[in-house]
Amino acid sequence: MEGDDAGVIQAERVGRGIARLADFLGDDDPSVRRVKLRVFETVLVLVVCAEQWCHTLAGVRGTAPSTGQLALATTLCGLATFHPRLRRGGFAGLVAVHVLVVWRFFPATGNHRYLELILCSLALLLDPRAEADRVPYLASLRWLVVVVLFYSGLQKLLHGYYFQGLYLAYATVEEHFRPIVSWMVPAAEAARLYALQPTVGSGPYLTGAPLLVAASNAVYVTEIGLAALLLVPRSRPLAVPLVMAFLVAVESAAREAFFGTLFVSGALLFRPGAANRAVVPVVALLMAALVLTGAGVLPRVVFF
Amino acid sequence: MVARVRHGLVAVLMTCLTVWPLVQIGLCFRYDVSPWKLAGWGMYAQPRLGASLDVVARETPDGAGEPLPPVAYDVMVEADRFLQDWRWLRRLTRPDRFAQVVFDALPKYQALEIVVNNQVLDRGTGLIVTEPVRFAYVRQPAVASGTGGSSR
Repeated sequence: MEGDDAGVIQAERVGRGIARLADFLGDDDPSVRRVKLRVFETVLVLVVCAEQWCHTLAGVRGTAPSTGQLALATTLCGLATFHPRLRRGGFAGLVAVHVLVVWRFFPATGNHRYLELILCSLALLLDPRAEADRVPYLASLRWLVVVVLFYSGLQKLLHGYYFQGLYLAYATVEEHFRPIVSWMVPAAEAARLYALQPTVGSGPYLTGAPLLVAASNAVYVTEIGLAALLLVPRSRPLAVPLVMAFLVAVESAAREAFFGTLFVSGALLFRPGAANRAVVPVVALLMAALVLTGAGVLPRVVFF
Repeated sequence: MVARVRHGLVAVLMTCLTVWPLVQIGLCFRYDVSPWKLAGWGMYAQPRLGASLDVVARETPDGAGEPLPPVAYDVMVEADRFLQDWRWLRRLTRPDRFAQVVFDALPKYQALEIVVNNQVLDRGTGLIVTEPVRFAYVRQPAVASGTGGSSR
């Protein structure tokens, strides 16, 4: 009996701890939580629909159901999420589509697909219209942003390709990394790097350019540091614009529009009020532009 | 579903998501799994380089090795499938199925050595180098998969 009592007390303590953490992470003006969360869900739906259509238009093939069928299913489920009665069914459908996509492309599945699956699962389990769900929903989304930022930095630190700028120098094999690297290394060194073919024996990709080495180390320091700054309510006003600036810098080279958009939307959840409302038209335009680019209507400038 | 159950599920989900990247990092260092995949959030932590296959076949387990002769399309497909998995999972996967397909296609061979040449960006020299991983298989009557071991 004493053991049972101790177990109950322990469970209550854990429950109180989780509730405190949720309050800490979900701390916000209660009157805007619902709007804020619905805006996030809108961005999520726009991103997953646009991404699925872009895959279809890019001719990504797989076994049945086809990517076109998946895009149609995603769109229908996405539309359903805007109807109060169909919302949960819509997100259940999006979860199913993402499980299928993760399964089909495993192990090559991109991390943004896992992120979308997690976000759709949260939307299935929690509802911004239910007052009791708002704090844990907001806290979970914010926690996800922190987790992704922190581990992204930690992995760069642990794998050791950023200490001497090796990753960034190697990344110039992809042309879209060159503009950002070119102002960090001397012109002659940049020309040498760009001439290297990524085959066995090629290199060295070490440059020793101080600016490149400094910027390279700043990447993981910034990611881990921003994760910590986002956690603490007092430092959030500083952290959010820094996260935005960091994402702009990263996406200017990496050009992962879908992941970047979701992450910006997640980071905006740390801002007080429902400031994230302003991004919906921007995201809608960006996603439309990406789909039209995939369809060949707009010229190819950026892509995932 | 009552709110308490849903909130409990969310707490479990978030706990798993917080801990999983540590497991994924463990897989990266233990099995060379790519940090880019499996939701460990290690995108851009390591260059994405490919790998190639060399296969040495033997008519007897102790006999002289010879390069694999031209093989049928399905053998090539299996090799490609293995390499695609290998690119991300590395030593978490093995070419067992590929070895079996080769044994099925070429009955005269009793042993195979499959060498996977990983391309790696060497952190010390900054050069792209190969790191071979070897798998040895001996044909076993009525046994579907190889009995390979790997060494690095």
